[in-house]
Amino acid sequence: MPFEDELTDALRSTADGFQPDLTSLVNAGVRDGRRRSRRRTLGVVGGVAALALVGIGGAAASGVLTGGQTTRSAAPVARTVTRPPAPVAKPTVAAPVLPKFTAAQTLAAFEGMLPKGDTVTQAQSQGFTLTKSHGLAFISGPMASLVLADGIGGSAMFITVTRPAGKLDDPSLLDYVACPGHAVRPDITCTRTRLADGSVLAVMQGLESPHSSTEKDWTAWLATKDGGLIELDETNSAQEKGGVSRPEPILTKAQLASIASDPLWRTLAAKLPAPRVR
Amino acid sequence: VKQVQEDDYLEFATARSGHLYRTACLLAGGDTHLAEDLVQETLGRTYVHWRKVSAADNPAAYAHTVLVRAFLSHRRRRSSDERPTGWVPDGSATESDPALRVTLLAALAELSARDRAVVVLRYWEDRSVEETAALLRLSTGAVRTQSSRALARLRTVLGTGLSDVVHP
Repeated sequence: MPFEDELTDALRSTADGFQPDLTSLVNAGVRDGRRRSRRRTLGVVGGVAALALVGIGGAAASGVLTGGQTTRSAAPVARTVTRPPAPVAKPTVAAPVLPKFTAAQTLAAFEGMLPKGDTVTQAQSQGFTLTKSHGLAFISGPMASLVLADGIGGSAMFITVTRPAGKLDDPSLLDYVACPGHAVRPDITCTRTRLADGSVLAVMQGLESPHSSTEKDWTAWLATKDGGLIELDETNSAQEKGGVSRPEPILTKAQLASIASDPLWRTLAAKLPAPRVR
Repeated sequence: VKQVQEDDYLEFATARSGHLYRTACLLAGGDTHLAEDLVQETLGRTYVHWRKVSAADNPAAYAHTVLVRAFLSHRRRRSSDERPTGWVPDGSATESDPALRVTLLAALAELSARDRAVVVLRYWEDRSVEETAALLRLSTGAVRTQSSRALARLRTVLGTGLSDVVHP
C-alpha cells in the first residue's frame, strides 16, 4: 500500500478516536459568538438567545449523527449488567419541558416597562422556543426587539433572557458583567452593582465600537444567582446601520438598570435549563 | 426575531462540530484542549457572520477555512511556546489503536504548523491541491512542495512504523 494511503488510513483511524462532546462544543461556540457580537447593534442571527442546550431522546445517545459522525451520549445513562442478559430497552431521556411564556407575553411585558407616551414600532418577540436538531434540543429564552421613539427620534433596543451557566460564580457568566478596563474601551462608562438577591448588574454606556464617532450603544447586563443572564441593549439609531437618529439612546442609565433587573426576567431565566458542565 | 436563522445555525453547528473537532485534534497534534478552543472560535466566528455564511454556497467550507486559519494564527501567536515533540496527548480519545495514535500524533507534532495543515487538508480532509492552496493562501506549487516535504519527514519519523500499526 502506498505511503499516502497508509497515512490517510492512519489519520482517519486516529481522528475517529477523538470523541467530541457536541453539547459543550455548540454551547461554547454560541457563547463565543455572543461575546464577539456583543457590541454589534441589533442583530446577529436576530439576537439569538439559544444558550440552553440539552440532550433528548435516544438519537444522540445512540451516536447517530449525519456525516458518519458519532458522539458521546449527551445524557449518559447508567446501566447495570444483568444475568442472564435480557433485552435492554433503549435508554430514554425525558424530553425537556418547555416553559410557558409566549412571544406576545414577552412583548407585552417589555412594553409595559418602557416609558409611557413613547411610540413603539418594528416590534418582534419570541417566547420560550424549542428547536430540535440531530438528537439535541435547544431551548431559547424569551426575547423582544423594537424601536422606541419620542419627539427627538427612535432608539432601537432588544432584551434577551438566557442562561449561560448554572450558577453566578461561573467565569463564562461573570465575563458579561465585568466592566471593560479603561485601557481597552476608554469610551465606555461602566457601573457594576450587586443587588439584594446576589445578582450582579452592570450598565455600560459607550460608543457602538471604539472607532465610532456618534453611534452609541448602551447595555445593561444582569447575571443572576442561578446563572441566568438578562441583556438589555439600546442604540441611538432607529435601525441597524441606519445612521444616528438622536444624540443618545432613549432610555437613561437608571431606566436601563430598572428594566434589566425587573424580577420577571430573573424568574424567566431560572426556568431555562442550566447548560451541562463537564 | 428570525427563528429560521437560529434553527439553521444550530442545525449547522451540531452537524459540523464533530468533524471540525476531529480536524482540530489532528491540527493540534492531539491537544484536545486547543482543539476545543479552535472549534469554539470557529463556531463563534461563524455565528457572528451567519447571515452571510448561510447564504453562501458552502457554509461547511467556510467553517473549515476559519478553523485552519484560527489554528495557523494561534501558532503564530504562540510560536515561542511550541510543545516539545514526542509529547503524548491527553484527552478522551477512545476506540482507536493507542499505539497508532501516539505514533502518528507525535510524528505530526514534529511538522511545522503549516506543513501539518497541508497534510491534514490533503490526506484527512481529502482536499485537492488547488483547494488546499486557496485555503492556505499559497500557490499550488507551494502546496506540492510542502506536501512532499511533509510526507518525506513523516516517512523518516514513522519509518516502517506506520505500516506496522496500520497492518499489524
